[in-house]
Amino acid sequence: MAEGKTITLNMGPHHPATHGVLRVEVELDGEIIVKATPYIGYLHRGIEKLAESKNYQQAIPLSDRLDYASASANNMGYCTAVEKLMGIEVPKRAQYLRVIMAELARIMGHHLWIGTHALDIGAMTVIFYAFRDREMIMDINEEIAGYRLTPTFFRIGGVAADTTPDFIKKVREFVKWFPKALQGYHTLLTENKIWTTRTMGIGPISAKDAINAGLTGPSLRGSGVAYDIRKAFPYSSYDDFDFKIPVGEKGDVYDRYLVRMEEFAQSIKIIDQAIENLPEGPVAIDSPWITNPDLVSVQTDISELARRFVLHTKGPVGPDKEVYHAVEGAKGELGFYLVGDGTEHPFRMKVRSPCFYLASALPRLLVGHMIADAIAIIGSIDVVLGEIDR
Amino acid sequence: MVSATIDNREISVPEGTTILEAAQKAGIDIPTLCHHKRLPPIGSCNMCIVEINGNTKPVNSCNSPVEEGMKVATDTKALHEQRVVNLKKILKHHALDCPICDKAGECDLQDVVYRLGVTDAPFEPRENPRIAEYSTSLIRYWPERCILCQRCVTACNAIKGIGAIDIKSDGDDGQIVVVDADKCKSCGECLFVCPTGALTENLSRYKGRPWLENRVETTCTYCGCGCQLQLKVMDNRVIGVTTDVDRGVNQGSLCVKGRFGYEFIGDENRLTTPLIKENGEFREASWDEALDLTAQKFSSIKEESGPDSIAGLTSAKCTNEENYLFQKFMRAVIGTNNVDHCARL
Amino acid sequence: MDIKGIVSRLEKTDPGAIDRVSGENEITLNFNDFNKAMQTLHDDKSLCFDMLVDIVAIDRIDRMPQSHRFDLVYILLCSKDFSRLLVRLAAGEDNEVPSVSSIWASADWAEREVYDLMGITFSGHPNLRRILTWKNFEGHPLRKDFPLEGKDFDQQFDTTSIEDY
Repeated sequence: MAEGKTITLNMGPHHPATHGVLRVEVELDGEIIVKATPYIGYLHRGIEKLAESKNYQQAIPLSDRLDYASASANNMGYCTAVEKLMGIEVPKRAQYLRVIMAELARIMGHHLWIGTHALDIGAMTVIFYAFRDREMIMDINEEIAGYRLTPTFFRIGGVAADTTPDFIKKVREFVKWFPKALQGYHTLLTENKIWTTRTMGIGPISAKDAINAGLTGPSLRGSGVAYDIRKAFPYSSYDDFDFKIPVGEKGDVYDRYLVRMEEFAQSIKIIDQAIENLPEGPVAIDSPWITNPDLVSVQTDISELARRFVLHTKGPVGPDKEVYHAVEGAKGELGFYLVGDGTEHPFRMKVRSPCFYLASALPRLLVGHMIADAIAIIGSIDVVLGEIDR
Repeated sequence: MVSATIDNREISVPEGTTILEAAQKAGIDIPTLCHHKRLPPIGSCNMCIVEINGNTKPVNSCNSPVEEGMKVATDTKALHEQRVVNLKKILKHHALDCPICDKAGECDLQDVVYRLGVTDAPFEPRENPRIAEYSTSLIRYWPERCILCQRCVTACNAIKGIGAIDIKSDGDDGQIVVVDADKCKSCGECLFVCPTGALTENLSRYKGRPWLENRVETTCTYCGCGCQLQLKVMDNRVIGVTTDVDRGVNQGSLCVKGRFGYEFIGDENRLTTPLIKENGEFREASWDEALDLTAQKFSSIKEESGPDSIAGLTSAKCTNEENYLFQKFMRAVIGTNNVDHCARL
Repeated sequence: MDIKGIVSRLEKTDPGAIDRVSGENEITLNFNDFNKAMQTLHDDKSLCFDMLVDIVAIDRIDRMPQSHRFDLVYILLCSKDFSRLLVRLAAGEDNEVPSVSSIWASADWAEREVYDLMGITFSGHPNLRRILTWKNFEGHPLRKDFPLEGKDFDQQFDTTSIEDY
């Protein structure tokens, strides 16, 4: 193409490689991207506004629908934030169960990432293996919560139900099986010549730039910054477990890939420790102001019946306070800024969505690369549009 | 003015203010059950107890005035325990009715149970069941839900000055009885102040739940008083009427029509457009058409038979201003003194 | 660095910038010194808050007119010791808040989101336009006086009326 002449190409919002309704307007000089502008908002459902009209308990399903690829990890963020607001300490068994669910969700999210990321670049086989193993986690979700993709298993003050024998059995089976499967992914990709050529040196971002752009999670760790909220601000008993934070060096697509691959292994390690050391005890706090009375006493006891009614029609009350609480979601720092006003509804809920900032860094990641590499880069930062648009 | 300390907060209030009012003014929320803003202190529920000057014997804050230099504690552990004991006494025979109770969801008793976090108050059936008799057929009395807070009796006496109902004996045998059913005007004041679902409206029973309905602010259309109402609306149908204590000239009170006469709003027989009779049959017409026809007929009658052949009758549903305009219209436009007013609703 | 150290350091470089210190890790800045103090928080070697995690806008319409309508909370993170700092700024409806997008790149989209959903304008922002809603969207959805159902929710919505960027 003649010097100085560019063409504008519209990727998305219905493009399979943008992993949802992300639209990126790229300006091309030949095959080189000279300018990229992401457009978002196609999946904006107003979750923050909706939460203001619901009570604290009712807003949990909304959090599932942020990063729907790893729903339980969002539950973890929302519930722990509300508990920080209300000053609740959750029983140990519930904390461990939450860790198991959140780590399973992280693996589930990474399954979706590796499957689609590899598929986008042309390695079609991986997605079949990834979804085969993802199915096992969905079965575990179904076993304990009844739902497969968005389990909504967490409650304010604990979790919805205790474990079933089948749940423990299935988690153990998965823990035993998954390292072998992970080895399979490595065999398919890590030293694959095509894969390394397509990913090494593509979309690099320095640690300083990544921090400045607000990247978190695996994408930041790929650039060598060991920032993991599970270690930096431990919550839900994460300091009980022994695990490492994998970091990369160059911050390119391949490093981000390696970090996530290692996170698979670390998550499995955490789940293994949690399921083997699962403490005995209740799975939710026993507070008349937060937890539901059991269904038997409701039949005979007016105070329990009345409380149950209030809890269901109004809900637990949040104090007049503001808190910020963040957890390590599958994509990075998932924060909830909650403002209570002494009623049953949050006055304001702000979701600090990791994907929002990942997508905002796209222009600086894409510029200077070939159009085909844009697919690899978008895949490697692993955005979920449900979380960007909220 | 007297000054005192409530929960380590300095307050200064006019003489004669009760501790409860002083605390509410200072933003301290003392749990109450029988206290109602419009009623004189009753002191039957013993929820609002406070400790004065560290004295372990608590007093009811709703009927004790603030005294100079008083030190009041409203939220100590002992007080909480005492409140729970008092509340359990009230709950002892309260029926397990929440699932079928119209009040559930906006029930003061539920709220105070939740607030104090009461557990373990098993239901015990009453030995001598109470009688479900009431002074008006518009209100249903559910004796097993009644907690004998005496709000209804106080309202009937103190606000309306009627005294149609009263409390018979006390303790476990106590119950609301009808003193004189003929005196009852069915105004529903007792229904309005009832903290539980012991008095429910017969018309709106089981029609909707408080958390499902919308509340629409409006003014009563029955007379020119302009009482402020809140219509309970569900699925675009009016299912009840309620009021707000702080709003309007009525301050929460209503008469029998305002409180119970709302079913006409959704009635099928209600006219929604003007009708014009042609050849013995009514047909629907537009307002413009109907008004034109009326004006034209009035003019022709006036021309043919003189203005005194027309008479005007207006209604108490109109305001004073509307009635004034009407007589002005009759006298100045039609030219007759034949104006009258039904003077009743 | 703990809050005391941050406050004393900031007092030294920008005296009078801090209006209030509350809680473990929250400071409120004065409107006039805001931009300079934020620059110090980022640049100073010992403070080094090099990541802007998020900007939260809260519509405090219930506290009007005693205080300003909006509260902005900037969540900062130091990548050295991973300490968090919340910086609060009160802004009125007519105030133009100085943009910090030249200090932190992540503020670009964060400020656009605040502008879109809350209607607070930022001065010096390179590209301040709506981000989640569309170009000719009316109102700012997260304001407390915006109805939950949306405006004219009972009428058929004409999708062709949307102007996209």
